[in-house]
Amino acid sequence: MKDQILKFLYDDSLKEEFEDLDNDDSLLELGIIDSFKMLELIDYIQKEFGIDIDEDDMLPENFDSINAIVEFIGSKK
Amino acid sequence: MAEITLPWGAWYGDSMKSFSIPDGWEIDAYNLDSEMAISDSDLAQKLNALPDSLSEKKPKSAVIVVDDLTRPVELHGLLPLIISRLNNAGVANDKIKVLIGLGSHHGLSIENMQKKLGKFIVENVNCINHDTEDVVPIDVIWGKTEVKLNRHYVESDYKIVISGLTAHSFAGFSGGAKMLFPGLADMETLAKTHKSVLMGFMGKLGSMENNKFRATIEEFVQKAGIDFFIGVVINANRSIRNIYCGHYVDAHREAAEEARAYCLTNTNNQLYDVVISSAYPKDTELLQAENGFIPIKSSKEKLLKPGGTYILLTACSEGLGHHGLFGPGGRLYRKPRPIRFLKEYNFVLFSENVSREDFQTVFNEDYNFFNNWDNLIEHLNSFVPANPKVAIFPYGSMQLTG
Repeated sequence: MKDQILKFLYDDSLKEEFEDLDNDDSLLELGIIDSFKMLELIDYIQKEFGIDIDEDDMLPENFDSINAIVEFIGSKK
Repeated sequence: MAEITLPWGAWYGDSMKSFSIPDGWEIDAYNLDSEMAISDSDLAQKLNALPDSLSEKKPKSAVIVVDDLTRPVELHGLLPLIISRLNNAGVANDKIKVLIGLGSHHGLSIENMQKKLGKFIVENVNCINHDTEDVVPIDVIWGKTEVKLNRHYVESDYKIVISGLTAHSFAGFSGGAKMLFPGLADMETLAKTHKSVLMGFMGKLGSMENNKFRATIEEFVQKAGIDFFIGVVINANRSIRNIYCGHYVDAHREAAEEARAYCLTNTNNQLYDVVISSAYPKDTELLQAENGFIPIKSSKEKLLKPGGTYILLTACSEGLGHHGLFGPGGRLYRKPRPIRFLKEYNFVLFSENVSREDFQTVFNEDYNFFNNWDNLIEHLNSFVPANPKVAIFPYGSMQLTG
C-alpha cells in the first residue's frame, strides 16, 4: 500500500524530496502535498481503497505522512 | 508620461506615492472612500454595553487582546475608552494587560506598540507580546493535538478582544475567534491551523458561510471564553469606520457583513491587460505581500486577459518580515513555486525596500522583481500591448471583487 501511495504522489519536479523521503516525514512540510494534490489524494484513496472520507477525517495528522495515510486507511476498513 | 498615485507605507508615514505610466494606458481606478469615519460620540455610545457586562461579572483583572502591525487598525482612540470603563468598574491599570495576538509573527517593539496602541496605553498598562511558549492547556483536544492558549489570557478574569476585519484567505475575514486561534495559541496548534489550510481543508476568502476553519475555532473559543468582543470595520485610510460590540460570533458577523459591503469593488466583469494592486494597508512586510492578491483571488470571473500582467506593489517598510511557520527557517517554509492562480499570467512585484534575494525567498524565481519603477515600465513595454486596459486597486489587500 505504501508503494502504491508513493507512486500516486510522485511528482518529477519534486525528485529531490522523494529521494530521501522517510515514511514518517511530513508530506506537507516537504511540499509534496498541497491543497490541489490533497483533493486528488482523497479522491484516489476513496476509489482505490473503497472507503468514505468524511469531514471529520479532514485532519492533517491523517494525511501528513505515508505512514499516517496507511494507518488512516487501515482504520477506515 | 502620465502619473498615478497610490497609498504607501502603512504605519510608516502613510503617504501617497506617485508612479509614472506611459501615455495611452486606459485606466480604471477602483478606489475605496474613507469619508465615513465613526464619531467620538458614536464610538462611546457603542461601548455602553461594556459597563453592563463588567458590573455583572465584577472582575478583578482584565486582558485586552489586540492584533499586530501587520493588521491596519490603529487603537489610539478606542483603547483609552475601554481602559476608563474598566477603571470605573474597579479594575485598576496594574490589573489590566494588553496582549498582542501575534500568532507566529514577530513581537512589537515599544516604538511599534506606541504606533499601534498609543503612548498613553504603553506607558500606563502592561503591554505584552504573545509568546507561543507561555501557554496553558484549555481542555480541548483537536484530533491528536492538545490545544493551548496564552497564560495571561487564560488567567485574566475578564477577557476583551478587539480586532479589525479585513478579508482573509481562509478565515473569511480576520478577527473574532481567530484572534485566539491561532493569535494566542501554542506552536503545535498554530502549525495545525496553517497545515489544515495548506491542505485545503478549511475556509474561503471573504466568506463566512460554511467556513470550516471559522466553525472549528469558534468551538474552541466556547471553551476559552471571550467576555466582550469589539469588531472594527476599517476604512481604507486605516481610520475606524464602525464598530460592533458584544458576542464574539454575532458582533463579528455583523462587522464582517459591513466590511464586505464596504470592500466589495465592482469591476463589471471587465477584462484587463494589466492589473496594478497595492498591498496597502497591509504593506509592512514582504511576507504579507500576498494580501495584495485579494482582487484576483476573490474575483468570480477572470480579471485579466490571457497573458495579462499582475503588478503587485508593496512598501515593505519592515523589509522581508517574519513568520514563524511560513517564513525562512519556519516549519512550513518551502522553496516558492509558481502560484496556480497566476498560471496564465505574468507577475511582477515592485518594492524599493527588499532585495532580489528576499523576493526569491517568498516568490518563485521565475517571477519578475523590480525595485526601480522605470525599469519595471521598460520591462512591461516589451510585451504589454499598445494602449492597454489597466485596472488599479489602490487598496488591494482589502478589495474584494466578488
